[in-house]
Amino acid sequence: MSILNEELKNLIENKNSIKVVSTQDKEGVINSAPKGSLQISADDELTYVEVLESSKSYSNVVYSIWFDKEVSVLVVGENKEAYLIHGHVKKILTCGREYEEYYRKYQEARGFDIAAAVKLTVEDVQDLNLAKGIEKQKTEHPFFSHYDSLAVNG
Amino acid sequence: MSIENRRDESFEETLARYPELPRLNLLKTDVQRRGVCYTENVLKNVDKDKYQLTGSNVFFSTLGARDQKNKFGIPEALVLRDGSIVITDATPIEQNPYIVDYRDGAYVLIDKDKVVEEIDFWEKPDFYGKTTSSGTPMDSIIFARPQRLNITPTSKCCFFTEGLPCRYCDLNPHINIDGVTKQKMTPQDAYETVREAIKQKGRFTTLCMTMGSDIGGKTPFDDELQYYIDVLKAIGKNFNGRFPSQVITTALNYDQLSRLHEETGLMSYTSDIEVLNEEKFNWICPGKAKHVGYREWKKRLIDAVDIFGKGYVGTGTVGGVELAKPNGFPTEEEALKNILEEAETLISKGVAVVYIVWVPRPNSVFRDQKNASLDYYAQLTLGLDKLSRKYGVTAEFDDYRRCGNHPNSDLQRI
Ligand code: SF4
Repeated sequence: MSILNEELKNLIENKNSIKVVSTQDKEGVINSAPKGSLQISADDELTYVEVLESSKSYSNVVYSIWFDKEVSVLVVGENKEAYLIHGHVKKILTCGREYEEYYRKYQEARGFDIAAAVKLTVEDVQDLNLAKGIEKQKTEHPFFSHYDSLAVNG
Repeated sequence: MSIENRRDESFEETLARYPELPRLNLLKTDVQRRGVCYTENVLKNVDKDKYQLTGSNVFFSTLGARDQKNKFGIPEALVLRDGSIVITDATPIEQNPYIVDYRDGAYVLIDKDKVVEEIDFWEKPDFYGKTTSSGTPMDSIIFARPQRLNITPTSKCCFFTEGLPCRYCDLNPHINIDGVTKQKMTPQDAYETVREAIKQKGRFTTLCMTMGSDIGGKTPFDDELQYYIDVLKAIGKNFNGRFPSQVITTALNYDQLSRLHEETGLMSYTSDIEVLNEEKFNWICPGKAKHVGYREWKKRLIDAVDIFGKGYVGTGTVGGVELAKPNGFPTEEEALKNILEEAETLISKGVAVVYIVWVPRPNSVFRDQKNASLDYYAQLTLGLDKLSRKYGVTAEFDDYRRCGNHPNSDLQRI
């Protein structure tokens, strides 16, 4: 069964959703960058385009595949639905027909060339919906609240 | 333990000693060091329309490969998961190469019966199979790497004619044996081939032109220079102004370098010094030593920085050849120390130093020798990388993508 649920799949495929990929460099410094090109390319696999070869984002993605570091993707929908996806860099396409396909599509849509198409594995998904989070915390961590919010006669 | 005693260590043991070195980078180095052997299963399954198989272009590794029997019709080279490439050398099974097999619908690299990595092969570009208006097959004059056009216009080097070839080089012998000597490429053929190649969107980022040395001309190497200028001018008609490009020529003097820069759209300059030690250079590269000389070679490289700029000039070395017997360094420790000290004298002046893994070729003078241990290459990669960071000298014209044959410049990706 896919780790991605239907709501999240729809959010990823929706052009109006915000998708942010976070990576780290060798000093552990986090870099986050919006990746509008992010799409589902196979079961539990996402692919997005790295546009600038000189960017921190691209260099971090290379670092991640070299040293097996985790990458996360934040997806936020128009109605504030939000998910955090965790995974790893599976492959960096810099040449070949599949890369050229991404290259052509991006160039046609945006007018400039790209550095690479990056494939990510999907290993875990966190639903960041606040209402669901509050309910979960109430059940699993009853001490994490304030008296005034629990008081019967407020 | 001395490096010498690490020769028989496994890949994993060496990797564990250098946690700062990416596994894929060291694997690439080891694959180049040990070579590859393709199983029947690969040859049966490989899609000949999709992939680039070995043919008859000079200056590409497989023709003069260690395996002289099984060198045609095999995949040209590999692509790794990180998007870097590995230029491979077909190697007989008795010499302990990595095995490339086809398993469960994927191409894989095998070592000691274990799958160590999934790989892919270089794909054939659209211009292959086409001819220029003069009827010349385009793939006979320009050879495609995944992102670079390799322009190899002639197939001879004058140092062989003089009996002074570089001792690791097999250019003239292998082209005679393999019968690939070709007509000298015309500038028009070069122009037309590049024009055709760049129609393929996303395929090429640069071009590299190189050939054997040509001593001819009023000043030595003027003929070589003039030919580069003629071809680059013709190719340049495909672009506006300067275009990403590299030449690898014999070391040219200041005036010649100025002409090359001013009269063409060339963006970077490389001249391979090959061995970073004067005494070993004189022994290993007698033609270069006689006609230019070690110190003059270095001076000309530094002059080139003045003309092309820092980050646009480089020199290549044949990593490990400085250990060749009988006159090379007696130990790997001594070699590394000397090579890195000497590399610093160039890098500190803005010249990028890259290396290729020495593969003792069966048609070269050094045919029966062994290349260095993996540990040696790991230290060479890290040592050169450290120096390039210390002096801020990049080699974007000769990196993982624009070239792909230098483990140390691959590290500049991060
Ligand atoms: S200069 Fe040396 S390495 Fe280059 S082609 Fe001639 S003999 Fe070979």
